[in-house]
Amino acid sequence: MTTLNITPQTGWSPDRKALTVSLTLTAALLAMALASLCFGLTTMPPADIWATLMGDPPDVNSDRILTLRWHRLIVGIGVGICLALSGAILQAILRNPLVEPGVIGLNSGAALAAAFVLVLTTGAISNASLATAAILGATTAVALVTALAWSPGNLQPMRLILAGIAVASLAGALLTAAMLAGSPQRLPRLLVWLSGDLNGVSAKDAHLVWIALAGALPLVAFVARRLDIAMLDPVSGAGLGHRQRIITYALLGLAAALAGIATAVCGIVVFVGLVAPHLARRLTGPMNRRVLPAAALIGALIVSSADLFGRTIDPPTQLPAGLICGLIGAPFFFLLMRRHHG
Amino acid sequence: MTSLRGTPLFLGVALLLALAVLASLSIGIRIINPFAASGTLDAILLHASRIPRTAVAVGVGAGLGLAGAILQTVTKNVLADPGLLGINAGAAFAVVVVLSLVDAPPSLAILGVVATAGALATGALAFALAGGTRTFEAQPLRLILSGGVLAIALGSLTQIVLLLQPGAFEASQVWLAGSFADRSVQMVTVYLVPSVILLLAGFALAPTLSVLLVGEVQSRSLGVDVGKLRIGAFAVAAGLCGMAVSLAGPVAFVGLIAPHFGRALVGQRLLPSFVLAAASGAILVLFADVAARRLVAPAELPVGIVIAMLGVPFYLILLRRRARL
Amino acid sequence: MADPIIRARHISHAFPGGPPLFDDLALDIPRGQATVLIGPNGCGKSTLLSILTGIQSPKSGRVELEGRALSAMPSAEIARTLGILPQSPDAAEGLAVRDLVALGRAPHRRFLSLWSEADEAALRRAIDAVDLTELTDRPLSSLSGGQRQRAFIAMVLTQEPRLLFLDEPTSYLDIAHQLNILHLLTRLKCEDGLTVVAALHDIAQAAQFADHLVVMRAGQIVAQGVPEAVVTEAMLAEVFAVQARVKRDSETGQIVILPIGPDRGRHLRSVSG
Repeated sequence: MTTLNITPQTGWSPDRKALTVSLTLTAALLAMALASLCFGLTTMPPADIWATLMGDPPDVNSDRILTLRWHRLIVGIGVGICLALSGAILQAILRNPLVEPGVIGLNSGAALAAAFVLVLTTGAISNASLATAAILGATTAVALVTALAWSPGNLQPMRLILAGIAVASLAGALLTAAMLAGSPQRLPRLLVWLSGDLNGVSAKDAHLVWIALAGALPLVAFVARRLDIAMLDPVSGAGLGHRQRIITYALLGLAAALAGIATAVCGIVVFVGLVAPHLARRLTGPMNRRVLPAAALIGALIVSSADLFGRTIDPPTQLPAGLICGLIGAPFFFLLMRRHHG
Repeated sequence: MTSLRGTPLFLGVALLLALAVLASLSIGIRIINPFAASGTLDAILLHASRIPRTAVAVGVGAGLGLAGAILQTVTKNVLADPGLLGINAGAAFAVVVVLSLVDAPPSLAILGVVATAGALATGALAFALAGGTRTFEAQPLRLILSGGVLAIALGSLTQIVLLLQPGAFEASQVWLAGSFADRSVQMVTVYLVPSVILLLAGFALAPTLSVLLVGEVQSRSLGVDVGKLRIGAFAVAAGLCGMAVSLAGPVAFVGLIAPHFGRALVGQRLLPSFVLAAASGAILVLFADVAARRLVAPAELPVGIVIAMLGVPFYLILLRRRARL
Repeated sequence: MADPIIRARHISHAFPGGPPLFDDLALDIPRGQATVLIGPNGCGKSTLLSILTGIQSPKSGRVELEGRALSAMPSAEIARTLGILPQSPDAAEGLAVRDLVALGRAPHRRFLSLWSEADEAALRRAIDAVDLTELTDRPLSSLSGGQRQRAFIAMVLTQEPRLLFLDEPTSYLDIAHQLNILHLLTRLKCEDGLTVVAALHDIAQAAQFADHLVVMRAGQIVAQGVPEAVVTEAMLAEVFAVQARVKRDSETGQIVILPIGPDRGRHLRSVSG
């Protein structure tokens, strides 16, 4: 079957616009990636990076530094993609633009589990066990939300949201309690984790994120059309053969897995899941085959630039990327909101 | 769940509120009989501590409950809560910045002023960034969204200040957790009149706001200026939140959860639902505060934790019982 | 009835926790004709439509689509056979007419398949049929009520269904748009052989549009047949509790209903929406 140019020739078609947006974002991301490899505590010009890659490092530490920065970069990009896609999926299936992964209890579940591991135990805590705890916590929270929202009749997205609020509130309260009860010496590490930090991520983290993404991305491509149908009222959707209950729960699982992986690797990163889909929609319109790629790229751009910013603004202090996300993302958000006014 | 109706419901809620006030006056590290507190120590304790504390808790609980109800109605979004206006985050940021700059922690009254300034500035900023009056009249969700983004950004800034200035961490922690302890009589007298005016204004909005529920076009045809109404409603809600945050610090959950109680009990009839949101907010905060004082006495739990622990189970019961939301 | 396209038998249904709505209801939908359901508010028209389309499963009973049990058919296959326009169709902000109408192809498209010529042709045909060609790239929010309704009909037509279900497609529209929609449906029925099933509010309009009229009250089918036989003064008094004259226009031969007032002897029994 031949494909057609699916939009009429008149004017600036949405698909061409979306393509341009994606290409621009990709270029920006590549530039950001190069900058991330170059800058840090020591500056490494592109020539040095090239030399190091070619096996001729200009400095004994070059190889090590480059590896560290590389892992940090690809984890940051992966985390941004995960969170943005998760947010986009959740906003679509729950039909609410204020939804983000935190709303369905995911963040607070992960945070609570991490807090228990970090604050209430005494032994040394590896990143891997912290990640495992976070995934367990997130899964438990989402399972709890689903169970609380379950009703025998039609699926009501609103029930999921309301149950999510409840679980998030409760977990948040327990988290505060755990922080008060736990040993003060371990509090700083928890606080950094809660702020979403890419400092010290390893090859293992990079593998985890990208293996998960390799599995998830085809699924996301598959569901893009389903998400479009979720923009319709439920009866129209059902008329198109959309099985809302199955699809909602399946996609809820996918969104939870994506956000859960991101959280496991670098702690709680707020902002991206809420804002990246919004920015993408403002740039490309509402159709998900255009929104999802743009959102993923925006998420990657936000997290990786936040990390670069956080580690270069006041060296040797490393400000957690999760904290910077909101700071550098907010101005962009407002700028776009102004430009696409009405 | 069939809506409960009429006088019995309101009598019951009033009774519960009275009970909560009574509990808050009498229960603490010391148990006082508020009607026979003639003994010198009890009388002093009652007047200097319990009464202002109870008054603040009622004001904050009712204010946040009502503000949440207004916001959720105007935006037609059950996720809209006072925290999303950015006001709490702005107040917290101002307080943390001040605490990180000074050596000795200032008094609660001064922190209240700082918090108010931060709250008002953030509210205004969110409003301006959302596109000012014209956009806002058309898209109320936009204000919530920009308030939410601003809240995240300010929250991050606050964390960064705390990371860079560990000294401010401990001093601000008490304030950031939200508390009703050590509120003075002066604070109550200063805030009394504006709080009552704001609460009454919120209730007075209800009949007009219920016109919005039937849809924007219909509202216009009924002669309601939808845009002005939304702005007025937001201003009242922001005032209530600002009042609450400067009295007690950022208290989460109440503004989100209390409106659900109101809706669950009386459905979409706005005036009773607003009254119930305010009342249940006050009741929740009062009982939570009593529990916070008693549970680990002589220490105190942060009231926010107790509010969530008490509020969430009730909220879940409502959620399960309601067929349609 | 010879070879109905839909055959429903022994349908019993109740809302969760509510009283029974349907008890052993049976209905045939004739192929290639316009079937219209009328009845007072709350009589079960919308629920019956959603059961006939498989959106809701009845508590018991069987619905057959061209001889096959609806409950055993995959949802995508049902969607390729029948299209549904709900009472108040709704889509997210910012969707363009084209985006919306393209969604109608979903049941025809395979995993990761690209937009094909067949898809594009179906989309063009549907948009032309509802006369929105000029507005293809306009956002839905900029359209009038009638244009919006036509855009949703186009989406359903893009499914290329053999059966079209519409729940009060003319509500909220002015008279010109109402007629416009009904003419469009009649044309689709006559030219493409589409079977149309609609719930309508306006009895005279229903009588004019329907080949087969089904009258419902309180979950029961109380009369069905050609409009001329069904729409009588006795039926209007019995079912709708109105006193009215039923006449025929001398020029067009169409049924004219002249309401006089509420039927004194009867009280409105079911007005809950």
